[in-house]
Amino acid sequence: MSGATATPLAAPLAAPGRVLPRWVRLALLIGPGFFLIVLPFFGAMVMLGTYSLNLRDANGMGMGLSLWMDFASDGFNWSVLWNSVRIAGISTILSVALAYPVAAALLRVRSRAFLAFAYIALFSPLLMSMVSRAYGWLLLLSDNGFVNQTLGLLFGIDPIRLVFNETGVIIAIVHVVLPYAVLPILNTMTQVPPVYREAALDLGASGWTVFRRVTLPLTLPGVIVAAEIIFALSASAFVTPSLLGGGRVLTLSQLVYENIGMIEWGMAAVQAIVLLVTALAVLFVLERVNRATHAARES
Amino acid sequence: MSQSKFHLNRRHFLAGTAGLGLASTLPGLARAQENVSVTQFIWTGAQEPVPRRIAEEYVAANPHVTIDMIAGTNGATFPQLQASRDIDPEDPLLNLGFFNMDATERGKLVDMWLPITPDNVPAVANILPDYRQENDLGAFFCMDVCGLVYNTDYFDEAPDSWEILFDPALRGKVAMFDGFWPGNGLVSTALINGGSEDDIEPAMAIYEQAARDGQIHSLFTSNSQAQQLLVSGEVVVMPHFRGVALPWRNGGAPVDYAVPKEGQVAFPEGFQVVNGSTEAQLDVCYDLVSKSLEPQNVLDYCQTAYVVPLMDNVDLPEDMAADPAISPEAIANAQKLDYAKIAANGPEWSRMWNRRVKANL
Repeated sequence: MSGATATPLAAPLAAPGRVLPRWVRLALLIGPGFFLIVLPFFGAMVMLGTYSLNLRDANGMGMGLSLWMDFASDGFNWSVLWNSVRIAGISTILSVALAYPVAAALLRVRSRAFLAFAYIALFSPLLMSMVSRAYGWLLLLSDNGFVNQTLGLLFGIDPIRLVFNETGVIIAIVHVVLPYAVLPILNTMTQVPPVYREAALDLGASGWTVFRRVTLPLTLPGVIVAAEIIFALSASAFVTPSLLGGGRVLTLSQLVYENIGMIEWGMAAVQAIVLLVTALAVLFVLERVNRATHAARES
Repeated sequence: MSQSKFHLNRRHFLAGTAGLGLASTLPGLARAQENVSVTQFIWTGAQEPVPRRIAEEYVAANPHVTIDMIAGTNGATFPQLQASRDIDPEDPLLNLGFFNMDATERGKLVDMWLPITPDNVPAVANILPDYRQENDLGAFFCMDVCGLVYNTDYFDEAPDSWEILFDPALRGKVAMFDGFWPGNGLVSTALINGGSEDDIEPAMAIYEQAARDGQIHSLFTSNSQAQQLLVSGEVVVMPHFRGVALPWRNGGAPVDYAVPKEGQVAFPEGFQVVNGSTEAQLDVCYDLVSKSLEPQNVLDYCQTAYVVPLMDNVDLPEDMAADPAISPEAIANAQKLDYAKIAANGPEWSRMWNRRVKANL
């Protein structure tokens, strides 16, 4: 019965005359994503640009680069930008350093049940809201929190300030971005044939040499992709520095929010663009490194 | 030609006139029954239940009206409202909202509000004269007070001066709002140190020194952060609002509210109707404000949200009247800040705060 109904439906679709032109198929494939991602992005960029140049000033007064000059001439803005980049950089290095062994371990797990458990644990930070997660960290890391109480019981030491400073912010950022680091590294590791490693070991290389000369170079593209993702996410992080920084951790994303709150749209736009361009510059450098390592491997 | 059987008598004439009169009101009735959708902004926490109840009752009595509620803070919602009016002045994000004086003054700068007069909301006439707004831009029917919120396990006696925030004995045990001027003691500190809303420097210098000395444990941006800090004992005193602290205390937390001898900060709160709303929406908004200003609803709100009524037709129950924080003397002694100047100077203060206080924490 089902076969009888399937034939008449399938036949017209398979007929050569009914195949859509290539450009239409491409448009259908790309269109939804384009409208969802690219158009809003460019629309937002145009809006930011007009605000940053005061073009949306109702009086038409002060149109020009004054806001950009204000930003550039204030050392405070640069120190905050440096803070953002530094925190994102440290978070990226720590995340990748933690993610690499995790990915290597996941590659070797044979038990499906354990693998399922490991993936759930790994992705658990993404299953709860960012705000709840930040408050959870507050309870864990505060002076009277679980971590300090445990350290006090075990070692009899005074509470260590783990939150309302950069330490707490970086711990919480690494926690949430770790899954994004593990996935690309794990993906690259699965593409490296095990025979390479086995061949190197057969030729007498030590485990460290195999890692340094074979495994790491072959998985470097995954590491760089992970670093790109983590840096972009960390540089624009807002909720975590805001809730766990206690006012001590100043990032550009917080200044953007603050200026929006004060209806200083123009300066907020300038800062948002600077943050975006900085992130893009770092991503560009990482991508160049990626290509260089790829070229070196090919040669 | 047959004679007509219709004879116009007085009864027919009166019935016809009544019919015509009724017919003439039909368009108005039809308009009144059009579906109307209104968006109301309310505050979260203890300030939430009463406006929700009033809205539910209103919708039940007026099935053609829908009321969408947006719950949040002035700090987060006001910029969204202004952005929506920048995009389309005739289609604001909200039609009616609960706002503080800070947002009110910022809104006045951009023609955000419509008057709430005794003509469209008669109960406005019952608002205490000191709290009636110029040109009736807003119905401020209650107020919270900002003073010292402290950990009762730490203090044997309640702190009684704003100066305790800078007591070296409490180094690293003091926290405050990040950049919320009426609520973080900055303006109060200015006022008791020879400064004012026009001259914040005396207070900014004190806060800067406190930051350098490690006096300030942290700056918080939400009530939940403040609660966690205070209840855990990590922080023992902070400038905060009575209406926020008392629910914590009554929930069993070792927290209480104290009135500084230099005066607590008066923080009026009330309704604003947003410019750009349609006539039908405005009718609903004014109805809602009228209903909210009924004495029993005002009292219910004030008891639920631990705020002070500012209406001459609301009698305080004994337990409220006995609270020293809302005694007539305490209210009379309260610091009445110039919120217009705070709104105007806020961006410059924020720049100073970031560079001199936050950068030195």
